Amino acid sequence: MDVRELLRLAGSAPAPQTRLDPAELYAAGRRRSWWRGQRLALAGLVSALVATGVGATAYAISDHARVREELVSSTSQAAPPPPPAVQPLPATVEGRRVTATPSRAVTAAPSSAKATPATPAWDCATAAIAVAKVLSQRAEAAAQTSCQDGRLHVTASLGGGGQARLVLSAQIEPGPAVCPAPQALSCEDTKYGQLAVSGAAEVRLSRPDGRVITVATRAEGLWAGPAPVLPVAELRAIALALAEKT
Amino acid sequence: MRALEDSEGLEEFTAYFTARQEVVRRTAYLLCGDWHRADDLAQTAFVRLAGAWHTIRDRGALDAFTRTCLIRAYVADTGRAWRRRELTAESPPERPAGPDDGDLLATRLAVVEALRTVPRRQRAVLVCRFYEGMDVAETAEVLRCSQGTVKSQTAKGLAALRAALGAGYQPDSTATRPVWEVA
Repeated sequence: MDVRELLRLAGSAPAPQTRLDPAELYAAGRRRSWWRGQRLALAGLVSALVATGVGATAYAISDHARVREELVSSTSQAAPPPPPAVQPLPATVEGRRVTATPSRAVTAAPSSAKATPATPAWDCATAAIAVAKVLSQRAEAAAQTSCQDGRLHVTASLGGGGQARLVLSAQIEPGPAVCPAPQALSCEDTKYGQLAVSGAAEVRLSRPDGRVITVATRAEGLWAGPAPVLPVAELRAIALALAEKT
Repeated sequence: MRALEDSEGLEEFTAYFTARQEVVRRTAYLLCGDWHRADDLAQTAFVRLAGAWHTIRDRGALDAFTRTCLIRAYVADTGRAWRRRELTAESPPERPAGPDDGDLLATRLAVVEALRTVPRRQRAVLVCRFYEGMDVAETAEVLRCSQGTVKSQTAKGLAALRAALGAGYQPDSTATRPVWEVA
């Protein structure tokens, strides 16, 4: 006998009455489908939460590592890097065009750790800009400024008649008090410090912070007769203006 | 839960159940050899069918869906340890409800008893191939195995069935070969 016939014979056995109810089966199937949808939705929600948590954790770990690297790199350097928006002034700036307002802020060299915020250290670069600004009212051409070892040197041409021209030079540097001094012709007390007139072409002003402002002129070119000079009163006014602005 | 109250789906499902429940139960009986377990398997298959009733657009595929659910439920259910332990108990086959021919009854009981001795996956392959008339590819898809596995399980199942039936019911070797072997 063939296997198909055997199985068909076995499957043709009289079946007892079934206890299955189609309505109950259908309801059970629909409930099963509904709960299955709920489980899928819950699983999706849990998966989304887990993925979000994993992503946030990974981001936090990476950010923590980045901050840690920055801390390590900053502590390993001798001095902190300057802020990116502010550029340090070179030691010597030549050919600077004198303008009424500086094009950008200039920072000084790193100040000492002992300086307090209430009394900031003297800034040579800032003083150079201020001096150039003061001299721009009198000079005919660009002023040349240079900072070196905390000493400011400014040279500006004041113009002149014919082939002669006056060159004004100003220096701000630490120095001893100008009064009394044997070479001083006269001394006077101003609100910015003691001011001494040394000869016909130089004025010196010693400020309370220990710095001395020297303003002098010299003549260049060809001239006839006495050398052209700037009156002492104007030198004095320039020195006081520099003392005020720096 | 609104889907539970649709009367149209219930009517269609009831009509399908009324028409096909006998076939499904008999297939389940051949698989497990017990009418009570056959009802359980049929119930599992019909519940899964009801759950997917609105997602099956091709009504011609209902039979295949139900058959697949039934056979997979049988394979999964008999694979559980508690069900295997329960099957170790000897139980007599169901007695016919009405009058029956003596030889046919004896043959039927012998075949059912012999099927019980065949391992479950081989039994499922035999029912799929020789009772449901499925080919190797369809059987492999239903049982989620390769076609080579279906072929080997068929050969082993036939050998086990032949051994269980004994000399009195030794089937013809050419007649018992699967279709793909004859072709």
